[in-house]
Amino acid sequence: MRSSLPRWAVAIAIVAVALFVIPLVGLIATTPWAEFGSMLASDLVLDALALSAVASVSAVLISAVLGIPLAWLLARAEFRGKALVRGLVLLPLVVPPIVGGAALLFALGRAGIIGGPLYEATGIVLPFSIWGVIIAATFVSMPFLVITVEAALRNIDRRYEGAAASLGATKSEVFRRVTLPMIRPSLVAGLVLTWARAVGEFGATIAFAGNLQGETQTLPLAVFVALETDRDAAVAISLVMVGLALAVLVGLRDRWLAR
Amino acid sequence: MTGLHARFSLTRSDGFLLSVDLDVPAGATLALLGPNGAGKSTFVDAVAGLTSIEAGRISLGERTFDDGTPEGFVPPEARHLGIVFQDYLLFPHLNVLENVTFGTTNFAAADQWLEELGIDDLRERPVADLSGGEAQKVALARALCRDPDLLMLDEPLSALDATSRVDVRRGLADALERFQGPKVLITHDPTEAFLLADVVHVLEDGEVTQAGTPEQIRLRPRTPYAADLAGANLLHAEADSGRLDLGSSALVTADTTVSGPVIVTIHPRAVSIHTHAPDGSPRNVWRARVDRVENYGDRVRLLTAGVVEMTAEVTPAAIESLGIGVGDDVWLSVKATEVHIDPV
Repeated sequence: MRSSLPRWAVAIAIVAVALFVIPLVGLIATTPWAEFGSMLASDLVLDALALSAVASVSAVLISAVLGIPLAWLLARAEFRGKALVRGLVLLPLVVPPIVGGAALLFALGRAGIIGGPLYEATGIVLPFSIWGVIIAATFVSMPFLVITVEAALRNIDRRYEGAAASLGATKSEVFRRVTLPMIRPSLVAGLVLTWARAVGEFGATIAFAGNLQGETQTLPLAVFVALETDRDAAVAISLVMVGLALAVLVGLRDRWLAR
Repeated sequence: MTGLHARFSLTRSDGFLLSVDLDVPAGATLALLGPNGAGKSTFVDAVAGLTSIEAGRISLGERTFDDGTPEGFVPPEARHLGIVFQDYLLFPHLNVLENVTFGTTNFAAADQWLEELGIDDLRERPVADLSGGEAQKVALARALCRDPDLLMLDEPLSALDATSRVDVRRGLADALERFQGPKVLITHDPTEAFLLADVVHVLEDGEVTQAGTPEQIRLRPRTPYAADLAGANLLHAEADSGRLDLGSSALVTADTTVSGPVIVTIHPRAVSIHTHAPDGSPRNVWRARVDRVENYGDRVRLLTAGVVEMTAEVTPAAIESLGIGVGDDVWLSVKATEVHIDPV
């Protein structure tokens, strides 16, 4: 197809694509393929991989449990301060993650306004533990689920819910049997986005949970450490993460990349 | 079984005001006939409990559904109504059987209705693969298999093409016939209302402008809308490849595809009036006497008696130039292409 755009726009677009492609090429070019396997089997990588898997899946589950009802409320309920609540939900998308992590530490740390009483009462310490990793990941990733699901709830034809109610379904049954299945494509997309964001989380984690191998050191943190000590390992882990991201994009391609 | 009482008013969020007062005894069918935007679907929502009323009362027998107070409002899931919604609203993620049994655990009733409506073989079918007529039957089965206290149909035929409409309307008439409770038919199609309902309420811009039997509304329309849509001449006839036997007389129609008993529809505007026997080719010509002249401002309706009763509509200027008044003898003619027939 002949392009109808001016040449300068095409040139700029090529530069923009190069910006995405060049780092990937650099990563692949520097990958020590010979030692790739053994590098991935190292304790550093396996510990980080396991922790990232547990923390990201936990973050997705918590986001679903807390975020779907919140999205429902934002999409359907009318209440004072709704704009403020929506703004607060979106805040983690805008605030630098490390600032979010610091804020979590001040609130939930052993001396924090909630963390203090919690420690006094139960002896539980949230920061610098796997709980901290999960909370940090949930904090930064849940907004993706809330905004995706809220948009989907606004877009479905609400008359179906009315039809379900007239067939005897209570509000909760309508939500479970009609609303959720009808927004399923968006819900899946939202969950995948949430998971991808949770896997990539760095700033809030390092501020709130620290960087202890086998305890709070997730894959991005492992890359950060390895860049200082063992560049080949850093490259190998990075490639694994790029592979994961690509797999997610391919999985969602019908939904997003079709147009 | 007991009747529906709906006397209420409500203001929609867009400022639209709906105000109705109607009763439907058990076993009777009331048609709410009106143009788009008249408030028909708002009426459905109010009776279904999807919106609340401001004043008045909606009740079914002894049970009050809504009296305008929050305490008196019964939520939709507790009203136990059978509603076929506009566009049917079959749940897209469920198959036919799952749709039909959505609101019931009575699988025997579901089986029975699937069979009686002739859609038994579709039970595993995804609803996206259904034709319009099939979807309508699934929606009807879904509403009926809960054995509801009221049956309400919102534009049950408007989503169908002309050919399947006839077939589906027959099935609908059977289902209505057998349902014991009060029945409400929401439609913009006068033929549908006249064929299926005992009583017709004409709803225009949120208000019932006329109520009566189909015959009353057809013969004495009170508003321009009713005159235009509901004022059509309807005759019963036996069709045989274009020839229509009316008993005492006969007509010719351009539609030669239908045979058997039909409803003949002739719009009053299609009836021409002449003071002398017309020349040319019209084959449907007969003599009649003007019984009544009704003035609707920009048009005049003449009710005539002859071998058939027929209403003709002309402009006031035409009446004047022809010099026709009550008691005059006239010639009427209708082109074969203006004689529409619907199988019964």
